Amino acid sequence: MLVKVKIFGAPSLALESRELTLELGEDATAGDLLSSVTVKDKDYLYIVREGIRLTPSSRLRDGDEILLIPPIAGG
Amino acid sequence: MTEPIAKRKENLKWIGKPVTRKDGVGKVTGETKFFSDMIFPNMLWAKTVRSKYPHARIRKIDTTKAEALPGVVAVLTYKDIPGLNASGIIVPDQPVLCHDKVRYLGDSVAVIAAESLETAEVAADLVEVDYEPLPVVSDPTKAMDVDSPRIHEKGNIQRHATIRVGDVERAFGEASVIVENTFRTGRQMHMFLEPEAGIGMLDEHGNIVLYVGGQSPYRDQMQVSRALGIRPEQIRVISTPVGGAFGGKEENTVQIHLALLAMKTKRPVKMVWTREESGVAGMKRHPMIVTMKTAANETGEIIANKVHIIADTGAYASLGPTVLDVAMENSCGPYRVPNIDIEAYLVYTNNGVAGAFRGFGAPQVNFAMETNLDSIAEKLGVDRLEIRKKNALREGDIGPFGNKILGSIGIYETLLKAENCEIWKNREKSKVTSSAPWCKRGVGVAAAVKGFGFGALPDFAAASMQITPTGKFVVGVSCPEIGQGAVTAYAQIAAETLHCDIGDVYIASADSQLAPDTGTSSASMALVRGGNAILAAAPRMLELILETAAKITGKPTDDLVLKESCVGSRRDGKKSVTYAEIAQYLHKTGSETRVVAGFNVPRVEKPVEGSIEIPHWSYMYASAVALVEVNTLTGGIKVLKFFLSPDSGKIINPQSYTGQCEGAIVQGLGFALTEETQIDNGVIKTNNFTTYIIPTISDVPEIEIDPVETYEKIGPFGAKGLGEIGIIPVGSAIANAIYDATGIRVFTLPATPERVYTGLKRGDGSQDER
Repeated sequence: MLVKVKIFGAPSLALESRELTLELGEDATAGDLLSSVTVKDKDYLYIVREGIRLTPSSRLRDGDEILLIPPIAGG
Repeated sequence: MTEPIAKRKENLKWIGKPVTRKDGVGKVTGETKFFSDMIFPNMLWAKTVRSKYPHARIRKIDTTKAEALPGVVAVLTYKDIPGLNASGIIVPDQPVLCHDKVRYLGDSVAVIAAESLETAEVAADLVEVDYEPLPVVSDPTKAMDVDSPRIHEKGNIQRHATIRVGDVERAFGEASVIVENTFRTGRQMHMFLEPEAGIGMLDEHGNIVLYVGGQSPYRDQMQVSRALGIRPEQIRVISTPVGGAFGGKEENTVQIHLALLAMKTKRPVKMVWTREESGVAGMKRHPMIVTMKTAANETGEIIANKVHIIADTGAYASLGPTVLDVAMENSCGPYRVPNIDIEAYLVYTNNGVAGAFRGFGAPQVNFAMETNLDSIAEKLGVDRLEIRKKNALREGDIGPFGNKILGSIGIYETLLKAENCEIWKNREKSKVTSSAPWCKRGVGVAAAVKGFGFGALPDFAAASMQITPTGKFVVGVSCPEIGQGAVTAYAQIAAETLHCDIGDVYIASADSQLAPDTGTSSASMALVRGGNAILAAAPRMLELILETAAKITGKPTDDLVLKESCVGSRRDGKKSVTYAEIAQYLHKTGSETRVVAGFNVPRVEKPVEGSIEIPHWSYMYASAVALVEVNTLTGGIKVLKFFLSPDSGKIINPQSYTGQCEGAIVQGLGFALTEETQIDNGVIKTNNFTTYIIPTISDVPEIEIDPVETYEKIGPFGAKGLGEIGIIPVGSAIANAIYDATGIRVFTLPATPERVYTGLKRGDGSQDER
């Protein structure tokens, strides 16, 4: 399956997202996706699809757009 | 699929109605039990060993005597942290337990769990720490010197940012009037009624359960997971009820310590900071030194603004980097300013820790801009309110950062409301009245802006909905109710969209096990996050209801229509099946009864160069007018009347709306007149209610709220945020009123009697520097 990924860096470093398209196996999970990308502190990134956080075991779907977001807070 | 009715503006049953607060009766009667009230069987008490110095190297930590004390169950130090020894959502630079250095008096060196609080306190005194005191860095301007003692290895400047648009120097050369002043603002404390508190324990599976009042169960979960080196799913955080937050409970406070102690002792552990401890260790508002040079042409149009900001973040960054962004973003007010030059520093000192606080950097710079604009009006002989109207942003305008503002803009309309309020209309009459010959009255006006949400930062929110066996709904939203009325607003939105009675909606809020991640209750965003997430989930629940009704009745879904808690037939107009019957069918057949949906928060994809999150997609606005009386013998200020006109989009619940505005004004009174954490060489001098003075009911003026309801297309039913905008213009309006009364400009907030008296005596407005 093809999955589009937008990776956001630590907010104090780089805000512009990196975009890539990954080809993953038919049964790929969010954890598989995370293993396929090179990104810092990946254990604490939020994997988000359509506004919903996924767990590493969540199944992906062909055509998904996944955001990898560092934890953010603020006011 | 049935579409939600989020865009509907008329014939709404629950939206815009003064629905009674779901949490109201429990809180006003004292029935609500906060976590600091709770006792669990077999529970231990925890105490933190804090630094004895504002800045020191740790040579040795000896816990032998504390461990030997009867009744002590655990004494933990940095050696007991299995994961990352750091907290801080964005910048994890604060040790959970210090091992080599302490940077302020609130730093934690050890945590103790004991059979009683008294034993834990005695044990805390028995922990022996060998310190090598280091020079204390208390002045943020001196902290920036290259030869200043370093608080962190990388230096004392945590962040330096510059944003430039246009050419300010050319504009200054063409200006008819230029005003330049330096402003200082105080270190305000949140002073929530319930200090930082909670209980940690293990469940039957050995997973951690934390009951800690906070602003986001999922951010707490992440920080605990990071420090303990375990998966987030192994940690359940329940963040409600909260005894006040205002930004001060957005970061980790007691969470990681409680999780560590629960893991170690395998018993429930309770920690409640004392008021003094909250003062020493808790977050504060960033004190700022703002130098602002503002220029206008002969008609009063602002043509340039040059701003220099130094923000004292104390020992750790916390959310300071984004506070700095918000300060920069708001430093030009709600106005068109074609040329800007902003330079801002976030500086480490040994002065406690500053972080999120309602307004998030905006009240500080608003004070500067609104004072300068008043001075410009005076120099040009232009009316103070007219100059604001002249410069106010309008729909379709380009903002100061060169971006087209996408959300609704109601600042001009709020200024019109201000112009027509009684205080403003009677301002000349008010000035010739006073309660004593030595008292003088004046009226001040100010306008404000602030984005809601995290601006250009990526953000998301989800909600769940489950139909119960009796046909009612459990709606999961993780944003905690922190006093703003969010839970009631969520119930209103859910009832409106699900076509049911509000009593049939239960909001499962702020529990990482019961609700998906809806984000934080911060950035004036809880309503928009949670509301839009509910609006995303509702169509899925309605689809489930209609499909099930079709199965039960044998009618096609296109013949079915949603009515009050039931599904009817379009053809015969009769009730076909109730929600309760649908729910029973689903539960009996073992079908899915829960849906989850979310949305990615709309944002401007690319931040302004030099910023983290500027600009926001949409902004809140407000105009304020204050009537004050100045006692010229004492310098004492009494705010007699206060008017506020916010533009926070459509109002979901007028009762909660008014409460939010009144609360913001009163908290703003404290920022304006009394609240200032005094820190002397790193030592806090005002750490409880006897020395740190917050407004009481006797200080509250007559308040009038007159909202402007623009329709915000990205908000639920047209709503924006509200929580912060009310506080932002309060200090500015009061400072301008003091000038109107006395002719003395205020350059330092809070405008304490000492400062005002000194200004009056000197006759030039100058005040003693802190």
